[in-house]
Amino acid sequence: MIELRNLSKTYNKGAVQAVKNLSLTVGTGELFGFLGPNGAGKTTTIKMIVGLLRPDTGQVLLNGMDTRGHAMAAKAMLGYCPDDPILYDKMTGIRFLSFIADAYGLSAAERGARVDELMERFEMKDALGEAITSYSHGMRQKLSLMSALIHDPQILILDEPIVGLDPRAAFALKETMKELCAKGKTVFFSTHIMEVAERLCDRVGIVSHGELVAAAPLEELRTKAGEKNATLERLFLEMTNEDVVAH
Amino acid sequence: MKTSSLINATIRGTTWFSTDGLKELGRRDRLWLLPVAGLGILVGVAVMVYMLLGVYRGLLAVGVSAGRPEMVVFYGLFISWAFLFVSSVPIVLSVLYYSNDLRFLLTLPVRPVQIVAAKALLVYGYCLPIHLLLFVPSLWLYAGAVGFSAPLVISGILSLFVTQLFPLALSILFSLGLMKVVNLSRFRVALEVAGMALAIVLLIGLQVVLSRTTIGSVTGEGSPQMLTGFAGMFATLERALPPVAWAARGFVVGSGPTPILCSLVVTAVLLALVSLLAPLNFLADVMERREMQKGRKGSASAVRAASNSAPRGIVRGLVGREWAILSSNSTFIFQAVGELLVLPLILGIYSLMIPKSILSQAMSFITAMPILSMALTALTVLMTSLTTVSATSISREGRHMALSLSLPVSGRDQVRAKLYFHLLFFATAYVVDLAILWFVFRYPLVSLVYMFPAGIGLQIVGFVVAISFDLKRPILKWTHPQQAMKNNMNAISGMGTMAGIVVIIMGPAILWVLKGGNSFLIGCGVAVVGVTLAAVLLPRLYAFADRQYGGGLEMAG
Repeated sequence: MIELRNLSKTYNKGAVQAVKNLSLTVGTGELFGFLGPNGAGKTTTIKMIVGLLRPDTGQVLLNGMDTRGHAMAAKAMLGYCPDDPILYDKMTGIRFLSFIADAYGLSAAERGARVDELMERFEMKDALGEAITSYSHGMRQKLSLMSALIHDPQILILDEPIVGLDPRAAFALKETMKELCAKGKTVFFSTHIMEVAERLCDRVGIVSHGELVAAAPLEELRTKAGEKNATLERLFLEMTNEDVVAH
Repeated sequence: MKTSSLINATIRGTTWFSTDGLKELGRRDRLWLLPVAGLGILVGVAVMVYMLLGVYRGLLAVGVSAGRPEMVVFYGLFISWAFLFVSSVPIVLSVLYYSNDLRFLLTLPVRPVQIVAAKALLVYGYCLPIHLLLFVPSLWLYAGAVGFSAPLVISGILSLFVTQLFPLALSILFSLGLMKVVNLSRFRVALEVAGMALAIVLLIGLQVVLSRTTIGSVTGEGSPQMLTGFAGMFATLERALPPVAWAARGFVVGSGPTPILCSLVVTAVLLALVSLLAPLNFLADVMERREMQKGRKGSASAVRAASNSAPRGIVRGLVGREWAILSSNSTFIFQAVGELLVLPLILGIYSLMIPKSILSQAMSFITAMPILSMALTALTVLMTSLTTVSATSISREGRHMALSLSLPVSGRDQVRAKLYFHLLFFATAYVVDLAILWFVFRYPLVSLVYMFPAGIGLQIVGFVVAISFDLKRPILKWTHPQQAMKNNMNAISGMGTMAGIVVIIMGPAILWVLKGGNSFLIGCGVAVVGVTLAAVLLPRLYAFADRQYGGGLEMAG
């Protein structure tokens, strides 16, 4: 479970308010899509969840554990895939995965089994022996996803994970996300692809100008908007447009 | 798109030399770097010019007595062109074929010749200060000796700004050839390091000549023979290198326009070749290079073996990660290797620089000193502790810091791995340096009882000091690797503080021995101080690291 309590974050000595008093709870076994226009505060929120940024105010709780007081334990239950893959280019894919597995304290048997499973799933069998520098953008993204999944995390945080993936890898990822949720794990991901969020998510959150303007299942959003057949894209445009007008 | 627009965009987009660049420096509160860097460069240039003037003055005297005063200009051009050719090969490769903006530029409706022109101008701009530094002192002396004349002014302007295009064009053609015969994707780092090493060898050679001439002019030894040697080489070099000879002869009154015209023609021919061949092959070369980046496939069994191998433990994994970062860039490797080899290099250079008679006198004096072992300990500790490798190891991670911070690895484990990496490199270098120094100075072997623990203890202290500055305020947002390591103020702060610590600990000990104290006992005292200090500081560093890593990416302030 992810609980964000009154999170706020500013940049440039308070000149830019990236996230404003954001509160949100994502339950165990829930697949949550985090939507918003560019610069709305999605990545800043995600970076605060995974411990890359410290909130100015507020708390992040992962499975009830405050990330500030229990940083190591919180990170151990997280899997994180950033929007732009961060990999050591001079390593081979398998060495990188071994390094990540060592960081999470996996045994040789666990690591072997996970690597086998993930490389089959993401069709990376032939590429893991190569240096990462030779990978295409999609392969880098797949390796980044594999590294986020290698320790079978309790909570998976993905920032724009579909971008750059081929249709087969995108399908594999979506299936993986659903499987994780079925196993009682939490998946939180940001995306600009409305169709993916619409088809996949139990609930979606829409953030604009650093504020959470909605967080509900799609049906509930439609009911609130009074448009029973509205697509998520239409709802998103209306909500973020109103928000812009309000500002 | 106009070529001038492309050149303008290239300069604005890749250097600080624009109003946008200065604004960005101002936004990052880094404008103060400009006067500091300017002062550093000024001091370096002044020292170099002083020494060059010493050599050129001697060459001018020899040239005048042989009736060939232009000899000094010839050597000025020769040194500059040789240096430009060697040092510009890695620059050409990196600017023309490996710069990140190529991926973007190649998609624009821009002709390859325009890209090559814009990039070549950047190379010219990077190399112009080196050329001016090496050539202007010789021109200055020559003008002072023969007076101003029309040939001198015309040849002077052409030699200052045009004819150095000859070695630059040559280096572009050489790089083109290299691209054809070597898989640069695999050997790029090695090639860049080799190019930089060759430039350093040239620089050291020049430094040796300059110093020997300076020392020789004081002692009366070395200088005349060396200058006579230069005069003898002049005729041979003139025959072997007509373009340099033509450029130099253009300065002589009465030589007519032929030499300088010849010089301009060969330069123009080379430029024409470059503008023909480089754009012709540019797209193909860049595309081929990108394709060549696809390495050979690792076998499935190797992957399986690796995935099933025993876990290494996170600290060991992080030590491997340190190597992956250091070896990811030629700038990093070159700096690290240079710092590892600094003592053997200095010993080698001094043995070449100082005339034999002076050297043997100095050796008999040094080896008889009671403070020999103590002074050698201080020297070796300084040489192996004043390093940018540890002082910038967090900055070097750059954007990869986000990965480090997202892993469940404590700050102390991260820093412990960096300490082991430091010791792997520099404790080894310390032991090797002690062995070399024993062969050179034959210090009493019993001194090793304190030299070894004192050195390792103080090295750990040096590591703690160096990395503390980088932990406090790492430079994680860098676009060029030099900003992370060479131009990183954390390195200067760390090294300066460590130098102070060594002076504070070793200085009084050396003075005590000089006043008749027992060298062995005082050395053991230094070892105890070093080891104790390391034992006291290390836990504090680990606690500091935990706090800083807990702060996330904002540890950068």
